[in-house]
Amino acid sequence: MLLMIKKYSHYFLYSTFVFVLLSALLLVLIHGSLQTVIFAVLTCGIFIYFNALGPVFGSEQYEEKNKGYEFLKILPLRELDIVGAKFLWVLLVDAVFVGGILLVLSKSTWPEKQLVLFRSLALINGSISLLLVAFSYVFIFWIGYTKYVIVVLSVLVAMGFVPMIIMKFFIEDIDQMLLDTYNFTAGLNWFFILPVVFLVYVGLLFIAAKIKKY
Amino acid sequence: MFIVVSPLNPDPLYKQVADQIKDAIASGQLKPEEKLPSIREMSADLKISIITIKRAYSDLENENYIYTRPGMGSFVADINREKLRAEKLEEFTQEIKKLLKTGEKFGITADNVIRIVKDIKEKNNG
Amino acid sequence: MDKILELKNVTKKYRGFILDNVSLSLFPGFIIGIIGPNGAGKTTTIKIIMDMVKADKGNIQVFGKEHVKNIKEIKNRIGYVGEEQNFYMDKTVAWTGKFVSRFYNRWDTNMFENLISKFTISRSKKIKELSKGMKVKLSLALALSHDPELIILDEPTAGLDPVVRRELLELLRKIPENGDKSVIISSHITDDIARTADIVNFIIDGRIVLSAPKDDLLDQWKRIHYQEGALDPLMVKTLINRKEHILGNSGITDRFPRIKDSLAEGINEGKIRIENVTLDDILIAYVKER
Repeated sequence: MLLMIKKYSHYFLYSTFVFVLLSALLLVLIHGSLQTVIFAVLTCGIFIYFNALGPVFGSEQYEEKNKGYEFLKILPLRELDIVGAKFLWVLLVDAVFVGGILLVLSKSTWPEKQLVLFRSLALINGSISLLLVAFSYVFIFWIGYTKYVIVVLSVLVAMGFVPMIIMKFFIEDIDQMLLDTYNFTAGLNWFFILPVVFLVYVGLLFIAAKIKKY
Repeated sequence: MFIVVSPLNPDPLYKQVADQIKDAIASGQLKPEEKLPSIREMSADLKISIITIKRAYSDLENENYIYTRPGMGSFVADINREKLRAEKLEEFTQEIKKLLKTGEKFGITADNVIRIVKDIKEKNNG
Repeated sequence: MDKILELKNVTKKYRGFILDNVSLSLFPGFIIGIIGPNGAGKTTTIKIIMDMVKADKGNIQVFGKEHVKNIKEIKNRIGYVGEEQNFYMDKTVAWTGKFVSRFYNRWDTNMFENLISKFTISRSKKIKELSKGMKVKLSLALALSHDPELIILDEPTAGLDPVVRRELLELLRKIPENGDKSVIISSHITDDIARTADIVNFIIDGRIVLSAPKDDLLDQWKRIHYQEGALDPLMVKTLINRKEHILGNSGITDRFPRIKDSLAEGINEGKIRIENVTLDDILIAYVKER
């Protein structure tokens, strides 16, 4: 598995680099307001998703183009070695991002409510992107990369409309919505949720490896 | 050692190989105690399956033309030349019988054949 | 001596095709050829051995070990050249060699370098710049450089020009030279197998219909050319692929050593002539019989 970990390293390190670059750019654009940057990152979610999903797209497209998995099947490698390496990287990158944000938050002097909200959003986004990647791999190995891309793009486009719909219907109650969101997120028991997320993640890892095999 | 397997020869391949090695031994081309190529070398050189070469060697060993020392290879046995000569003579006898039988059909007699043999002998000596 | 490979009653169902109760054994140091028409099941059988396809039923042991459970260790000792050669196209030959080398316990860099230069493949060339023949040779170089005990080739000569094809077969024949390596070759080109195999397996419609030493087959199957009346009518009936012609008849027998003596007279009189057949003739005779 170590060899596969090494093989996929450059995809994830690359995307991390891009993330840091984009964040720095954003920071500069918003004239150094870290708070705004973090808020943007979190509510957008797109950064974390992108950094989890981006390498998935990149590496799977490369494998599909080169029939890489056919090549790897000749080698003394288990499916678990390959899929495990990918899942490990995603987990690592995800943990680093979320951890980084939590670290920044812990060192900041913002109001308690905001901190709680941000913390929760960070963990929510981190968890969702983890599971998103896991499900993605299950789908990719099940229906193939090309079909997967079509499905995902369709879903993302559809999802793109959701905030707009929410805004349209709930704009009057946005303060209430924020309060509800805060209440909801504050009430989440992360000591319970995180292990569950992790277990589901590992479960999906084994399912993906099984599906990939034949 | 020159071994050629002929597509015209209806004998099984292993027998052709064995026969030719026997001939080489009988004619002195292969001397007693001389080391034969390994089964694999033979197989690679002749482009013949090792199963066939193995069988040829095995037959040769059973007939005491060669012997094998484990780990060292196969060697030509100290064969009784007289015995080989007798075997070849028997082969010749059968061939001559066939020849004569064929000749009968065309009206060629045994005496005709003896005459031919004498002529050849004289030519060779002269 | 322990078997290097054993397939027992391996079955695989596809829509429209069944690999049916295939059994196969391989002892070390031999070249086994698997011949059959296209679609007969050769590639399926090999892919099952390589765990690229899962058998529905059956028992497989490689190097005396349970197949799927030990597949990583088993693949470490197998060199494989598939019908298609897939590599990362933008990488170089050297990179590919280095990448692959890390997965094997017994990689021999010198051997790889020697083979690459013997095959005249440039180390710095990118895979996408290689011809089909070179890719096959590269596959073979990779397959041979980790000291495998078993080398499996699936239609290795497909798409190769005659010169390269000959070279490849020459190479393959030399592999078991030290007695410790075994080879499985599958091909629908019977001539490939005729040139290299010690033991031949015919697979037709998902079944192994024949498994025998190649030379035994060629000793037992002969074509008999005979003049009208020169053969016993009962024997004529047993001939396969009979052809009757004004100038003479012919038929193929599968038991020549047994009937050889009864043909001797006819041969002497010039009324019967014996001709060798090719593996193709034998395969076709089997196919026609179905």
